[in-house]
Amino acid sequence: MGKTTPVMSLSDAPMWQSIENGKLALMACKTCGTYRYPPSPICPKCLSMETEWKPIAGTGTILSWVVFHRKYFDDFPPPYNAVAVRLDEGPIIMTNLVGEEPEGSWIGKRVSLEYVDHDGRRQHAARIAE
Amino acid sequence: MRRPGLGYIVGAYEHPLRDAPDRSVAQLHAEVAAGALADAGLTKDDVDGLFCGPDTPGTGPLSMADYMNLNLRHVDTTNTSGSSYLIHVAHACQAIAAGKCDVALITLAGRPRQEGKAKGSLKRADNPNQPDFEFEHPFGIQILGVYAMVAQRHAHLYGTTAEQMAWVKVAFSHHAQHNPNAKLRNVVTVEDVVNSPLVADPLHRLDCCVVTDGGGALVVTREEIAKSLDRPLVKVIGCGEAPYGQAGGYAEITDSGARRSGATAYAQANVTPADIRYASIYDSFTITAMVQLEDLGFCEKGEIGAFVSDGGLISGSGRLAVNTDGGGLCNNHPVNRGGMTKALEAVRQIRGEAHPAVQVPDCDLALANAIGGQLGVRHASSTIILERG
Ligand SMILES: [Zn+2]
Repeated sequence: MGKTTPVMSLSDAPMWQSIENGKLALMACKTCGTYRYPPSPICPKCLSMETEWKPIAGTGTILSWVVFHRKYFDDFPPPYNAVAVRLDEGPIIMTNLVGEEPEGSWIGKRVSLEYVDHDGRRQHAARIAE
Repeated sequence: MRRPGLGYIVGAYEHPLRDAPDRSVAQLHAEVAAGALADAGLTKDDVDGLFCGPDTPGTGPLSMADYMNLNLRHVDTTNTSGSSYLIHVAHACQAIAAGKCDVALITLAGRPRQEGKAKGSLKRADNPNQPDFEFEHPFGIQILGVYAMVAQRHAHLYGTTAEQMAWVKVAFSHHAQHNPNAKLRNVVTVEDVVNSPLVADPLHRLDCCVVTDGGGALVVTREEIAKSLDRPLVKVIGCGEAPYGQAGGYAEITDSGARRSGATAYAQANVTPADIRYASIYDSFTITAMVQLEDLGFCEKGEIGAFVSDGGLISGSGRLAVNTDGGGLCNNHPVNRGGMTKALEAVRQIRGEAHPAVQVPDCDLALANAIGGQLGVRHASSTIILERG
């Protein structure tokens, strides 16, 4: 058992910086405007290599979710959840739902992103939108 | 109908052990290699091509080729995780057709139970240098998590229930009772599955495959050599391989590469799903088998819940005989890589050598499919279609 660890690499340092600044940014294509996640050197839609990091609105819809009932990481005592969120900009991101959990299926619930301290680092999380 | 053979599987061997405390990984590889060669009626000196994955100890194929003293003229270490070994069958056929080897040996072996990977603590085979690592790992995503998300979304889109998923395990447990080597031979009910502890909601403990030591091996060769041996002919007539990713964050997580690998294999074999008499489908989790079955065209997308219900996958009485050895859910899942055992039971079915209680009568056409990596994020599907020669 160990903790989850962040690693800064060429293609994700700007994302972690945007999280530090409290406004998540994703790679977007400068040619066709398509957002993508995870980052990659090339636009999955038009293959352009012209790229910029653009802040997102921080709103989306839960695509799926899971509640883990076993311990896999020291910094995630069970039960804990993970959610896949379809951002309004298009791509799916993985994050954790914080705050109140919906009754029944979580799929289709609107969420907004916020920034939380997790074991000494800042990362994004989703909360059910009012 | 006579179809051209791409290659012939002449040797197949599954290690009888599920716990191997007193064997090395190299020894297990050598034991399954010897078993498959003996099954074929060949010797190690006939082998001139070696196909293996990263479960092989040492640098690629080098240590095992040395350990077994093989004289090789072709090696292939393609790695797509659990689906590697079906891709090895396809690549062996290609290498044989290209004249690069005559007798191809494919091995899989390991001892995860002895190495502390048997208690659900299995981590994803993640490396911080993976470009996707940063975007899933910090949120505690674990290997079951993405499969659970696929299951949740499948339930949302198509109304698939926990009870329907449970039927996959129930069917394979009915088969496993006849397999003396199976890790779990007890017949279970839908209630047993849905009442077992939740591991990653909606996956229960009994929705998850076993973790086993051991392994298996295959020998693939060309037609003239196959026909000189004293074994029923098992002809490879179609192969497909298809990586499937997130497409920049836009892919549908309940779809898999099996749609594309299956279509490629069906086209090459000139058969349709309705022609298939038996299917081996990788069942790391119940949902894994369900997604592949519908993407392979055995039912419409979203209708797999009804297809598997009421014993739909039980040999003899169901809609399609699937995993008659008990699958990864009950029989064997050596080294957490399911592709090899899928090929082995398909070979038994074509030869008529499956257990009589689960043998499909006059089984002339079988399919094996595996998913390596993870559904929902990135994986590779591999399909092979076998015909009695
Ligand atoms: Zn573009």
